[in-house]
Amino acid sequence: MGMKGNVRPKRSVKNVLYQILCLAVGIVIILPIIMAVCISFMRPEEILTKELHFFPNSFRYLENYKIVFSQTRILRFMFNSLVVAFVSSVVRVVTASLAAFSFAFFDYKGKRLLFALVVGSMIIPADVLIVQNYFTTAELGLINTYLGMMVVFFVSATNIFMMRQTFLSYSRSLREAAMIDGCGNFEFFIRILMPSNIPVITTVFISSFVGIWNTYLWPLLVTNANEMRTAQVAVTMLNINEGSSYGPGAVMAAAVIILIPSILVFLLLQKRIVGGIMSGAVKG
Amino acid sequence: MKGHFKKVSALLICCLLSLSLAEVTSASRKPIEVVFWHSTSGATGEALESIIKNYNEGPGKEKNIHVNLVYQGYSGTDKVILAYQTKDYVNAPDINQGLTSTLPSVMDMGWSVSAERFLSDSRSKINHDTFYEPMQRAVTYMGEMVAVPFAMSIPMLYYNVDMLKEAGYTKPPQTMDELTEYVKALTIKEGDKVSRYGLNMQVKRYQLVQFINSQGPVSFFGDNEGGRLAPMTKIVAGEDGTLKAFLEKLQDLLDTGGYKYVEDNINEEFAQGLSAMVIMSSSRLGTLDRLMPGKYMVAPLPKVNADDQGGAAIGGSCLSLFDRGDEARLKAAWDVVEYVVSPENQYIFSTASGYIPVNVETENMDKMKAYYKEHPQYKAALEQMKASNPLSQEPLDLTYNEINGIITETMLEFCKGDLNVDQAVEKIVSKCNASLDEYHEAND
Repeated sequence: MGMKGNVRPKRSVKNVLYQILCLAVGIVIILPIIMAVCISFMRPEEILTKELHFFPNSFRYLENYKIVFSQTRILRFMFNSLVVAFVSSVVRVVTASLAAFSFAFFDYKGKRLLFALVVGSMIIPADVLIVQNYFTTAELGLINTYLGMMVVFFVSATNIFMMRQTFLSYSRSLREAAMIDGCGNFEFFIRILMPSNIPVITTVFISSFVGIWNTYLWPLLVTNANEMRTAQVAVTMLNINEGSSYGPGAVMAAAVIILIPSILVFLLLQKRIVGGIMSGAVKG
Repeated sequence: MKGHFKKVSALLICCLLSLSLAEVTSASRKPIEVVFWHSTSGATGEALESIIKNYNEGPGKEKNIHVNLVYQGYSGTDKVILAYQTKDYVNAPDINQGLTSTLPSVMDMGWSVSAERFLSDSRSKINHDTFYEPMQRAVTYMGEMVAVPFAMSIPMLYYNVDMLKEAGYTKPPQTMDELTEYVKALTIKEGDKVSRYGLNMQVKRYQLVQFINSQGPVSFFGDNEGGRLAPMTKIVAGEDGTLKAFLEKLQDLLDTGGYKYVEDNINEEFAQGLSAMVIMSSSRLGTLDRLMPGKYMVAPLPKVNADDQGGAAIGGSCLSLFDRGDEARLKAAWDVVEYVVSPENQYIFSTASGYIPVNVETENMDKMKAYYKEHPQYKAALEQMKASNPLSQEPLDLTYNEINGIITETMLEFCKGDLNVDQAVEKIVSKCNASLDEYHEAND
């Protein structure tokens, strides 16, 4: 009993320290975002002062947001980004899960080589492929189209790798049992494997949505029409020095606006990650 | 019955003929589309949009030409090069606004059309003399005016009028020695902290080459007159002593403790009174007019040595033309260029942005004279450009981005005190030369 009494306080001290560490890391990560929100409500003279100034004098100063909406077509740009990020992420989940299913559950000639090629492609920097990708996209007549903006994001080796590792830990005997009960491969994939791997699917979806949402260069390269621009371009349109300067306030306001969809996606799907992990734990 | 059949057939043939005729007419009426890629936004972008809108509704409509103005940010030239490399003629522009320093890369592409072809054509509404001599030279590569000057500016010293007055100065500094004295007097320190800097300027490629060129009458950053007569092969600013001379003066500035050598928000900090003087392009005039109207004035770039004759170098962006295999389209693109650089449109563009009007006639317009009277800073930029030696130009360095990176990094090390004058000279020269050598090895 006495021993137990000694262990518990030690554990709880450890727990508290761990919580404090997590909190500190969380604050460090979120601080720039909070600061961006605060700056977006500040007047220029509040931003460029030498005194330490974290919160704006008033959250009712909306001039920076007015500049964003009047000087850029941000809503149209955000719609474009949403289409590109959402569709590409859904397709990525489909391609990655199908490839991972094959790598994890089937044995066939050349499987190891194929997987090595997939993993090997991860070390090629995306920038190196830009010229060839542009050439292919242009040859396919996809310049100035949503498909052209999305096509290079449809398959991700990292996502295939992530899902394959998860599927490998999935019980093979469960698949065999399903097969005995008359379940086909596709049915097993759709009805059993995918529903029981929601956490990894959600993780892949969120990470690819945020990654594609933040992409600047590729969508700019394959579009030559003002109405096809993505949200990131709006920020660069405000970050100018010649002729007019909207200052850091407007740039931060644009950054805050285009941050909202990424946060929403995370908040909406976050429970799915935790829920999935929990349900797996109970079953296990 | 036979007669009836004949009537119906004749009617049918008539209908078909008129239909095909209508199609031919509508096809011939379809306007020639000119794609114009640009990099301007904010007030400058609005001015360009209004110019193009006027063109589309006026002369464009009459001539059956329609301009499609597309914002490409600063990656327009890279995109043109990418389209050329991948032979994507369909999605390329007819006109591109690009930096003058990228002209060698642009002219390397087979589809680039030298502006010289049109400028020397007697039917053209504009010719070489439409532009100021320094601007002609700014877009000249290997003896030809290969592009058309468009958004041109010159570096200037901006100073807070009241602060200089308070410090007892009636005129701005003319030389770097004077600049150092002014910085000492204008800097305010609270203990170790500086609450007001005398000068803010980060020395990157753009600033450095200005101080090299200005030491002329004839001094260049690289050989072949800064890469204009032939492709640049090496840096000459090290061997002729101009780079060292500038760095020594910069060291004096650093020793004052009142020179801020990094740029954060240079426009806004100057407007808020956090620095008394700044050195930056005259293209910021429009911005500062909005931030601090009437509170600042501009002066020529301070000379490194009192007897320097070169003056600052004009720089900025120009309009390049591309032949996408359609002569009618190319001619239409030239018509648009002629319109954009007309005196009236240069008035609109210059007053909105701060860029110096490129057409020599613009400054003689009554409304431009009136504008200059109200905004003497704009006139000062024009006068400085006219006073500069036309040979004082930004270099056409073939590895522009890399050289900018080398200079920015080395100058930061120098300003922090990690390198002395000689080490900084050696590092800039050797690294830039290595970059040029690599380029020639890969491309010659």
